[in-house]
Amino acid sequence: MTIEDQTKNTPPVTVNQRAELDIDINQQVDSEPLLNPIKSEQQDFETQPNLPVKPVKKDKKTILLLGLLIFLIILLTLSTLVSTVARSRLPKESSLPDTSPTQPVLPPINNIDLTENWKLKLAPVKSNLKTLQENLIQNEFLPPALDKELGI
Amino acid sequence: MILIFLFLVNSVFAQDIATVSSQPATQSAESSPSATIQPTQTPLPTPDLLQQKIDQYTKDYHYARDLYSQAYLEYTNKKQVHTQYGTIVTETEKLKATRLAMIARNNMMRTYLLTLRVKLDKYLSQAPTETEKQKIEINKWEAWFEEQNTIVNSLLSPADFTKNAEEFKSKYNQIRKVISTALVQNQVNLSRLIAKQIEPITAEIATNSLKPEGQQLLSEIRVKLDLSEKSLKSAIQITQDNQGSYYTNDLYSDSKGNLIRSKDYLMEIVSNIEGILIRFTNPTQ
Repeated sequence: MTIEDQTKNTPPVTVNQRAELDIDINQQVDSEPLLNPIKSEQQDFETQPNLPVKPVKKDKKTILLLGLLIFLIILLTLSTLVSTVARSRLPKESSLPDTSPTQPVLPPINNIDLTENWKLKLAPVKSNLKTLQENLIQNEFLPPALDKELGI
Repeated sequence: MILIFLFLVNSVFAQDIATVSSQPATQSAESSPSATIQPTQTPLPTPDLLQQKIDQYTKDYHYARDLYSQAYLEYTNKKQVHTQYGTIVTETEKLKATRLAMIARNNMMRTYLLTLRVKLDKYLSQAPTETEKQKIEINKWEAWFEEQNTIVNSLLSPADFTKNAEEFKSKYNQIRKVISTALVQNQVNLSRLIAKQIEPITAEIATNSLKPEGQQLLSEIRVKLDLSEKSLKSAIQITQDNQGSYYTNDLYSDSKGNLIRSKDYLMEIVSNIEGILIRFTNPTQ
């Protein structure tokens, strides 16, 4: 039995039956939840396997530079750390500050295992040397500048 | 008790000066100099008292220097006004400001020289004859500045002022030489005091049972002491060689190289002494 025969054998639908059918279809449509258009778009996007993604060019030069930068940062951090540790272990400065480049470096007092007797004997020498050095650095007590004349 | 009383009175005067430092220079410049800045011919005080005296005179000098700066500023203002308007009134004002600035300058120089002279007392014992000679020279110039104040008060015309300014300029070169010589002498005296303090220490070390290396270092110390003294003599020589000439450069700066060299030798010596004491002497010492 072909589709045409079936159509022919089917009794014609009345107006009432048609109306009932329409109501039934509308009810069915209303009862289905509305699809979120955005969601569906996303789903479409996810389900599509070979979308044209812009390829990221990982230039070798850039990677090399980045690596070098990281290496330098690590190196800098390490050197700072080492110098801080070394400085903290250094003995405190001697009481005789040495600022002139030509001056010999005096051994720091704290490290010297001198007896109190010798320390006492050397104390006035060191004190006077300090004064002498300060005077020479500060140019002693120089006269006031009178370059500006009081002429008429 | 008398000394304590004098010190207290001095301190009170110093406070008074500090509180009036905001006064205009024109008022203070005319006033008579304070009692603290008069030269004194008293015997040498103890180190502490001497230091207090130096500190007090230094304060006086700084105060006088501030007054001079204010007076000079006033003088330049009046000069500008006269250049702009050129009236008799502005000229009178300018001459008045010039006179006040000159007096302030003379007071400042006098207090500076007084302070320097007192500073020389600190290490005077190392070279009494030469240092006293410097002190006399400085005192002479202090009196000259005092005298200048009287002369400045008698100046009337602009021509008088110009002549006085020119005379001052030529005299100031001589004053600078005296100042430089005194400064060098003071540093030499201090260096010699240090060398003198080192000598008994090295002598004491020599009596110890030193190792050969210690003996060698000790002889090096003696050589360095000689070299230090040689540098000091060169520093003094520079000031003496140029005393009579029209040499206007700063003699102190020229001698400074020798002073620094001498100081470096002394510092090396102290370093060597410590080295000997640690490494080459009997540990029980």
